[in-house]
Amino acid sequence: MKKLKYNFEYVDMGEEIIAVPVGTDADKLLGILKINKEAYEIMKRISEGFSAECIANSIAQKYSLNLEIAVRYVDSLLNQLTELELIDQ
Amino acid sequence: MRVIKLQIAGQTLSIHANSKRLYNMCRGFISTKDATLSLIVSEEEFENEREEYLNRFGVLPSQIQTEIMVYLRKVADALIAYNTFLIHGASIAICGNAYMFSAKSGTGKTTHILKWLANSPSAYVINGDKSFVKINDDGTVFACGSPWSGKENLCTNTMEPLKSIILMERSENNYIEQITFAEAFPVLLQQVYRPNDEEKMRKTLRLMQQLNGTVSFWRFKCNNFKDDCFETAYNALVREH
Repeated sequence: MKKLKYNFEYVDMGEEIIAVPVGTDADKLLGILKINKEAYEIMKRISEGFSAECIANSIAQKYSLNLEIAVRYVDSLLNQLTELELIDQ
Repeated sequence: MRVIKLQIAGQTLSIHANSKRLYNMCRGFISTKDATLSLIVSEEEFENEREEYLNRFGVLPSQIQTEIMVYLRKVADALIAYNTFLIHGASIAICGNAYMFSAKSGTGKTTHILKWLANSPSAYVINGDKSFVKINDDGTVFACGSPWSGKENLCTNTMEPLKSIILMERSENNYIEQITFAEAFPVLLQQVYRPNDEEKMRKTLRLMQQLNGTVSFWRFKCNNFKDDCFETAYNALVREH
């Protein structure tokens, strides 16, 4: 199967982020992704070199959570693509 | 073949018009200024345009149709560098402001703006089908005319401050409501020219984002065959705002 070539550009809508496919095969994806804003901020910090554990530590402090719970919370946010909205082309 | 210089969205660009039809379409936009951009269509680009049309619609376009489409794409691609992007939308000017009605083909954009012309003597059409949106450095947003204006050839070589973008859909009754940028974005994205080039597409998205807070967005459920379709839109967009 041919691998599609695309990346994402993130558009800030205020309460949420929308990820829009960009690149050669972008239109073939036929959709945009809505991402929880906190998940996006975490994704960004990880791409900047912060470890998930480090981020979990600051989340634990922010919400007064047990670290194990914070780690699971970070994992769930990273896995969370809240909605795939298919746009009628 | 004629090399002609066109003034679109504040930029002067030169194109090579092979067909009389393309030349005639562009006549209202011909400029004597020096061109900042020279756009030439290669044979490969021409054939790619034909192939894309064939894949989409199942028929080959004529040479003239292809020339018209490929130059629209070239112009739309080129103007992104000048903070200008293309929307599939009919735009009308009234009282110094522009209102852009955007929707899929066949929804009734042109029919609706003709009602504005009939009911408002001071209104005029900026573009009947494909309007350019220019964002200046100071953040002001303008709707701009272009030669690519649909079957009725309704266009004016002008730029007016863009006040509202109205997303139209067909409906039994006429109803209009203001919506947020977040609500408008997924629908609007479908009507915006989306370049294949990744960096140009990213720039287009960033330009779209600048509309947030500057331009108002509306959802217009429209029945052009009912008498209240003009008043419903006009009262909400112009009279009350």
